[in-house]
Amino acid sequence: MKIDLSQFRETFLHESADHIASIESHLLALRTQPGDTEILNTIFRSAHSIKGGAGSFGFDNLVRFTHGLESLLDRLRNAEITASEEVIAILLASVDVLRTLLDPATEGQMPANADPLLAQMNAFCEAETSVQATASEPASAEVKEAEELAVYRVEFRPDREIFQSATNPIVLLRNLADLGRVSAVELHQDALPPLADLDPGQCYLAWTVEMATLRPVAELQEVFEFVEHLAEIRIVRLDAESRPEEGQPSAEAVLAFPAAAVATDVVAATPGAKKAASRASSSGEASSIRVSTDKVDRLIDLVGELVIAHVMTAQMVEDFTPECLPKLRQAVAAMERNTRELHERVMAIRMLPVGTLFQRYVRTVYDIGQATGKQIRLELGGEETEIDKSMLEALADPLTHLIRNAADHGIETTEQRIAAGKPQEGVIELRAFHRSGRVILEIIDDGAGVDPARVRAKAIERGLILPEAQLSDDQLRMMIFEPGFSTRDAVSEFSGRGVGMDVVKKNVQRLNGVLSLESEVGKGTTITIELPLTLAILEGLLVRVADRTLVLPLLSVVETVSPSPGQIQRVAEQGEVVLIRDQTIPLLRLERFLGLTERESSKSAGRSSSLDRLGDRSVDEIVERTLIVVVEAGRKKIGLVLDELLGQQQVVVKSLERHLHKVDGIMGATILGDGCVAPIVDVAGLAGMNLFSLQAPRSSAPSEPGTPTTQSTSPMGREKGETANAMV
Amino acid sequence: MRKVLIVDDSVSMRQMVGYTLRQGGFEVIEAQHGQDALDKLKAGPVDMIITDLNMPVMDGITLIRNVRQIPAMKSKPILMLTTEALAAKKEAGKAAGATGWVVKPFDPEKLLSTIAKVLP
Repeated sequence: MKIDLSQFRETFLHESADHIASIESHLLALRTQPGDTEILNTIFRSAHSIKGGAGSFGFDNLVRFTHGLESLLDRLRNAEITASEEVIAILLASVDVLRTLLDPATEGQMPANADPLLAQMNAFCEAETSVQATASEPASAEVKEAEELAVYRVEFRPDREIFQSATNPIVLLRNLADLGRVSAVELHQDALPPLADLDPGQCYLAWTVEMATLRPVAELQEVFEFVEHLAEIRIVRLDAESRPEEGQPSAEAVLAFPAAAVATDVVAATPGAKKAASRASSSGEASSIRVSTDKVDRLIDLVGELVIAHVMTAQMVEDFTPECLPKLRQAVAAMERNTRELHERVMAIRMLPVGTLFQRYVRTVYDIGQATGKQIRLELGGEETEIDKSMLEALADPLTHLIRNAADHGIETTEQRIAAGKPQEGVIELRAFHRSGRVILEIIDDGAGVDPARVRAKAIERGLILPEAQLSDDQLRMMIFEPGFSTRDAVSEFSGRGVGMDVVKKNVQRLNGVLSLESEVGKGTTITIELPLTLAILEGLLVRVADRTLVLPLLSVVETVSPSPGQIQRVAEQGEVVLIRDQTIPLLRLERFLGLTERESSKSAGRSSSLDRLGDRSVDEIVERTLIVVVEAGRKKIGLVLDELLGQQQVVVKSLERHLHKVDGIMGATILGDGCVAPIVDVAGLAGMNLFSLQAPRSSAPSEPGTPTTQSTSPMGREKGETANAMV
Repeated sequence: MRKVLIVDDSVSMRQMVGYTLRQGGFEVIEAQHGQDALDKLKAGPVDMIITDLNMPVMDGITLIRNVRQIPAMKSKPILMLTTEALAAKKEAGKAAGATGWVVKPFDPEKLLSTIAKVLP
């Protein structure tokens, strides 16, 4: 039987990645709590586990490297050396080596700094290395010996206590007998006490076995491998002299136990042979996900229930009579419940805690601190907050940029901080939490803040805005997310040239998220990313606009208003607003924005006559027949003008971009129960646009009936990037 | 079918040992650490235990000591599965009542033959 373990390589890689992340974060924690044994034990265990598995998959270099690492960790654990900054720096560099060694791309090749690191580690624990050198001597010479028939006498005298280790002497004798032909067995029962005194928990017997075998003597010894401390064992060759080269050719020569040889034999037996097989299976780096068994168990239960519900329903349909109808309704309702729960649970499988992602940034901040000489601490919060796996992956880079930017540009140098009367150590907080069904990520630093005046100057210099542009401080601050913007002259190793911040914004928007920034000069900056929980499904409000059904993400809906006359007002040259409880909210007529107006005019004359002239008509006309749904994204509210609310429903989001190019204002589409396709409104995207500027051309140049109104207002017709320019 | 309890905090190690044992015709129960193993044993004894030594919550040596206190487990073989070829560790395991050991990385065939060596 050949048992192939290479199928578990993927699990090992996953697990090791977790161990490495754990080592890293614990090492960083060790800086503030040097000598904490719990932390040291955890680190040691992780390194140890990596080493334990590495050998099974042919990661020979990894075994070698972790061995050195482990020796140093063992010293630390035993408090023989202290976790100085120097030691921690070496260990952190080792973490990088471990990552490289496990990266399928490097095929386990040692990176250049690995051996110097090993040497450094060894320097901290001289003694350990010499032990290792002797232990790894191959002991195969002894094992290979003898293909000749030899006769041995084996004396086996177990200690009284041998049963304590659950050793069964009979099993040992049987194993011994399997190795050759037994010619005589003598039972020694002289130690056996009278029955009254006999303790059944003790062994009073001993045996002498004479046997002929072709096997080397080492195999005989191996039978007693586990009991050498629990028995007296003498193996003597009877038939001939031992061969001359073994020395001391005495017929009674007792063969000593090469205990170490047995152990190393096992070590040596595995790694090399497995290498080829495990390599082969490493190439395809499939995206996989680990799910707790609880989640899977519940899924299986649900599927079971669904199957039962289906069987019941099918049965009823089979023998259908009108009286069955209420029961059938019930059965369908049960199925619906199951389906919905199944749906939610399946989605939940994709949810992962953000903590795994957050942990990496501790190192990022540490590295920047080391390189810049700044004292920076990263505080994490809400690590258990769960988020869709694909989102988590897509967030990694934007968050890296934001954290680096905060550490590199946000936090001041120690001198500057002292001068400003701030604590020497800068703090960056990274936290996640749920708020009304969305995930909020905040990156808060107590650094210098974003100075709108400096941003303005830089933006003018870069030609991003005109010198006379009127922009609020908030608008100015958001300029740092514009392409080609950088507030720093010095290009730093970490934050680059301001490339990145615009990418951050784009990435967040791609996730249907909203990015916002609050900052106070001298106090610090808070960047907030607001994201939907998952991209795959959302609770939708179905609305009718003209003859179309649209979906609004329910979470962004604040309220619905039937406007009374006077509530809608036109702001000169800008557009329309609705006044709700003293708040002025810009209005967007979806119908026009989506270019449905003209199409409507050719279809139903009665309604369109008023619609087409809406641009220069009294706003009261809208009031008669419209509803306003107020939606919110970030801190921005918009009133969407539409015709009817149809209902509320969970919808599965399908991407449009695979089929059409990116449509501003539409984040995707869904298929409704009747098979119709309904676009889903991108509220965050709308909020990011300047609505007034979108409306402006409409109010100044009302369209004639029949002219294609899609040209200026339809998002389909607009160029990318126009929204950004509209700000200026 | 004979039941073996595998105790290791490493998922991949549990999977590898578990797979090997199933191939060898054993029924396998898994535990993540010593305490977990003791909890699993409350449901009834097993025919053998294979345990890692270095584990969180409860290490292997403590587990072995505890298992030997369970009457139904007194005479069941326990193998230590460990990277520590260190004599000191082995001695501690033996003193606690371990029957034998297997060194990681293990060879599947060798693991099965070692089991045969201690299992009646």
